[in-house]
Amino acid sequence: MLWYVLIALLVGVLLGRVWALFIRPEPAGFRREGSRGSTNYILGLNYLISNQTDLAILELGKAAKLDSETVEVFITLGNLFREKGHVERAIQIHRGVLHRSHLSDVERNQALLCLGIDFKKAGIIDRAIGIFEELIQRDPDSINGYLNLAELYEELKDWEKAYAAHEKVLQMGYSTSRMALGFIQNELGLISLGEKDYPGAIKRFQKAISTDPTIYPAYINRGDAYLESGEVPLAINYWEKLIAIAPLKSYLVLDRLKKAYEMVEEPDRYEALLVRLAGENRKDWRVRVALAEHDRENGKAKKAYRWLLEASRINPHSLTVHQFFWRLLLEEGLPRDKVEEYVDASREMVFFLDPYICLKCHYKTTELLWRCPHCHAWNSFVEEKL
Amino acid sequence: MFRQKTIRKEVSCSGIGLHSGKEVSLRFKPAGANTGIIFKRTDLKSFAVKPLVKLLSKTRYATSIRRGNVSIETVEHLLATLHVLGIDNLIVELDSPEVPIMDGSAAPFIYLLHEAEIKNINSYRRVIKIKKPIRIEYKGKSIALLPSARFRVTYTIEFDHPLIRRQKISLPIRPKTFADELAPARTFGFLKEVEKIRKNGYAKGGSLDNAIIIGESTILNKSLRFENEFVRHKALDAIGDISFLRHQLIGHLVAVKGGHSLHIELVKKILRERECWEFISPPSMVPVPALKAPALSKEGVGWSKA
Repeated sequence: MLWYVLIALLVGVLLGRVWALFIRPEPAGFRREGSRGSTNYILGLNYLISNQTDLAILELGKAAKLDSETVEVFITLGNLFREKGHVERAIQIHRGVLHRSHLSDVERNQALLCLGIDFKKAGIIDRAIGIFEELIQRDPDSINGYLNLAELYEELKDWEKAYAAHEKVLQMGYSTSRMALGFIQNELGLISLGEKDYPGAIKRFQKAISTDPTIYPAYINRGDAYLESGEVPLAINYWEKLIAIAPLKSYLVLDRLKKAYEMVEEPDRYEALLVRLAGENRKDWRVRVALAEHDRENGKAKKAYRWLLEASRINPHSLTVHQFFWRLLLEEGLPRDKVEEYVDASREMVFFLDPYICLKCHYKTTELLWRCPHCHAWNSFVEEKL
Repeated sequence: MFRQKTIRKEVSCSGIGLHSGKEVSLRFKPAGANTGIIFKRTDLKSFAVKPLVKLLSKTRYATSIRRGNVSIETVEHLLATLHVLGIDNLIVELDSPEVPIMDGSAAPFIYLLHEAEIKNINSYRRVIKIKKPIRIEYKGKSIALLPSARFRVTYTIEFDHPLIRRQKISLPIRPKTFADELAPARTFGFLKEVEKIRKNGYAKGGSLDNAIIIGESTILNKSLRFENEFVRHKALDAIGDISFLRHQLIGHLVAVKGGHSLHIELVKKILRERECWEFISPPSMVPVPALKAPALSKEGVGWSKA
């Protein structure tokens, strides 16, 4: 009799296991039952929302102990450990999820993505790349997989691979990668330019511009490539094109144009250009500084003062203007009326040294950068206005 | 405490060099008893450089060692991890002059070394036990090593910055406390200084992914890992620098407004002031008679043959 009971018990357990493994319906995405209903889970989420990561880890850890089957609790817990810098625990948790035998595709891909991000955030670059490549093999439509890969390749300055990853993202309909593609073409062009492969560089810069016409450095660099290969009129053409589409960026090419106009023996074009730009853009203080410099060089100090005063009224915070003022005043023997005029104008001025700021991370710099060295955003710098 | 350790298997990875911004390959290889820690440059026919005091080069932003023309830079986070995990013998292969910066902390090294499986070697180490205080004071900064029952670090920093001001941490240094409390703390820098460093051609690989950047009134990173992450990182750096003693330590390190230079000065002073400490050996923690101790040299003390 005892044997029958034992056999019946064993069969019951086996049938239950078979049902759990093969018959129980599995939703396509995450499982909805388990610890998600627990108080700890709800508390954990609340702490997460209020940015109290340590408490969220504590509560979600308890929720995970209550039900070790619920995948998303573990994935979230791993992500929180990663945020706190506990690399090993994050990786262990996400690896643990991946070792489970009955994950849905969505769950497996999510765990892989999180594991890849663990390695990426830990600075273990090769393994992060390996995980994201595995994710893309499993899920060729994984935008996050491609975007993370693109970021890693950009970090390594492997521009060809970064380009390929962004191209995939663009093909999937996410236009945000278009600007990155343009800037990467520009980087590739700069490499060709460094190798004195001017036709190759020009081709790259052209592709950058056709990908996204707001890749301003590509116009500058294309002009440089033409200049290097002896085609000065074409160089002028591309620098003037930049001014036509982005007049406030004209200061980036003014020096180049001045030299190029002299090379083609048309130096007057420079002054005409500056006067036109000053007339068209009442807020362009840099063109006024350029005009002041031009007039100073031609012995017209009085006109130079006028341009500098205008420039300082438009942007009183620019140190460049004030430095120029003092240089000019010293050269002219500190004429009292001009010094007084300057002192009057500068009474309410505030000085600052870092005019450019990254809109994304607020990194400040004295020169215009096309890619933030800190948060890696492309084209994110603007001139800070106090 | 007295068994020497190495790793069971090789582990490798690649990361970014903080100054070069280039990819760096890093490989940990097991090493036999009394080998010590040896860095090898695989890009230079495996040229070996040991972390010895006499090989220390510049110590302003990071700790670096140099033998001849060959440098190994930014070694402190890795050396701190090896010291606390008790790994005495290890070959560290690099194909570049820099240890990769990882995430700016020591946590990724703990992960990699655990993956390599730390193992005991059938050979013993000796431990330095502090008998009398050793102190250095310099322009309002100070660092001292005091007698204590175990290795402990107390670190205080003071910055004239609203986001840091005065921070202090004091804790016993064991593998678990290190992994939980110090290892995840990231290196930090001030925005103004970062641009200067960058303009001088350094920190090309620096980013918000591997450093906390402090602006005038805000931190550029999303969040801090600890409220007092800055002082925790300084304590981590100090352990890395103290590891240049090349022995485990029983003593209390107390630093106020320290830095790499001061840490290293302390190491040099410890090595000079032999009467302030003694070697402890297994099995009965009997002090080794002074006569049997190896002669001291500038590069530190030799390994136990026990």
